[in-house]
Amino acid sequence: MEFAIDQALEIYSGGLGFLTGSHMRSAHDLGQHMVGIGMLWKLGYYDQGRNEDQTLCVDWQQKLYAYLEDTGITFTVNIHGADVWVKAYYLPPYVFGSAPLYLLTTDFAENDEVSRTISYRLYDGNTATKLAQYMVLGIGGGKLLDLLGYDAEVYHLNEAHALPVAFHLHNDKAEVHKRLVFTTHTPEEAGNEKHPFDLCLEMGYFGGLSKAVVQEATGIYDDSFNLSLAALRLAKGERGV
Amino acid sequence: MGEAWRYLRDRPHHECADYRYWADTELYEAAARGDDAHLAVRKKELKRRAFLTVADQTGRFAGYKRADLLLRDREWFERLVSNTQYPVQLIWAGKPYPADQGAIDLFNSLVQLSHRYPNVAVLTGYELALSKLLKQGADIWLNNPRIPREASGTSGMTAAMNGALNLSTNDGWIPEFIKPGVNGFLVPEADYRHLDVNEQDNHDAYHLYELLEKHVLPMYYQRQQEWTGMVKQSMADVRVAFDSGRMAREYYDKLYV
Repeated sequence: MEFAIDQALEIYSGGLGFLTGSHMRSAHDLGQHMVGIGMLWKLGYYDQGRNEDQTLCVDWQQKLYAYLEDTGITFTVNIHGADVWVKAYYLPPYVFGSAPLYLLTTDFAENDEVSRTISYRLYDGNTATKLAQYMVLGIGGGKLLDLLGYDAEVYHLNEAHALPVAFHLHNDKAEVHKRLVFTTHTPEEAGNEKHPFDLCLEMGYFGGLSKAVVQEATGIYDDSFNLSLAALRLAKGERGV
Repeated sequence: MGEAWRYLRDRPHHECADYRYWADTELYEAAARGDDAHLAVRKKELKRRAFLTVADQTGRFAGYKRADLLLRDREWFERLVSNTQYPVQLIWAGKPYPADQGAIDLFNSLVQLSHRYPNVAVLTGYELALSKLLKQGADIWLNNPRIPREASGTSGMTAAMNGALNLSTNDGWIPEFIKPGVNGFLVPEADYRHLDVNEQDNHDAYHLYELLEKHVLPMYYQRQQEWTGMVKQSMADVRVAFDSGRMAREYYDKLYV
């Protein structure tokens, strides 16, 4: 969801981004065979300014990154019954010394305004927008790897934001279990996101899988869907702290 | 989330931060040579750049992080910031979640407070660059989340990589790192299971003031050698266990196979 790789690439908010940024730089230094997938947040997390009396002013300013390469790859993710176009940009390793990173955006002419806003704000406050962000990251990320012919052996979810990739991969449960790794840094119940199961379903969060299939796969039969719990149960390995 | 603990036995180490990006190598080189004098000179130079910082507190201003714990006893706080024998510079920085009005209000109340003291500052734009500057400049990295709410709180790792000492409650990554009085300062743990939040905050604030007034500041000002020894220990310990190169290797070799 966020990577703090360099000050100049403002697609991060805090600790989680600092951690993934460190991970991507170390993976680069170690020459590990991996790529990262994140979102190209048009307005970032926000710019922290001040009002006249020095109190905090939240500014939203568009970011432009000349050093990102347009891969020319576009595809769609079905969100709430409509196809949303997704485009992939690329941060090559030589720019900041990090493992290859693909950044997804919905902010281009093929989409209507609502769809474009999906990639505007990191951790958007609106629940539906947030779920759409997770779908672009998860389902979109999975589709991108397919289009690149990357043939990933392992999909590592750092926190549950990209969980929909599990539903994208869901040929059978054993296959997902074999290839999905989940790490979490918020073992506390309150820190883990839950959303109405039916809203997730309506949004297409489960990538077209039926409620019964998702319930069976995740063991979650509540009215609310706990993203971390689902990730934990679907993944082969996880790591709590 | 009991299941979260199921795989803990075999898990790779805790969250980490990469040494190459974050650490001040000149500090590490001086420590390796045993050149304490240069270590002190270098830290001063870094501090000059970050304008004489002593204690920092940074983060999202989430409630449990208690950015205002140091203000809990206003008289004691006054005494601390107006102490001329052991002067301190306090700096707060962080980007509250924009929809979290409570966090924004807290940030603004600290801004108001800072207007009353020449040695209290609240900075905006806490991103990678400012984060690095503050870590380089800080002598003490203050981290006082309410146990057991902190999942991680990794900023203290990279602060340690730049010669700052952690002063913290025993939560997040701290229990795996800290040796009190050897590589950092630890607020004694409250019996939080049997205390309400108010009592826990009182307990922690009391011990935080005590530590600062009786141990941390006197050592910083009176026993420079001891301080430098702790800084070197902290730099070494954090590099061994919390460099993200190790985390990336363990992910790759253990978790991804």
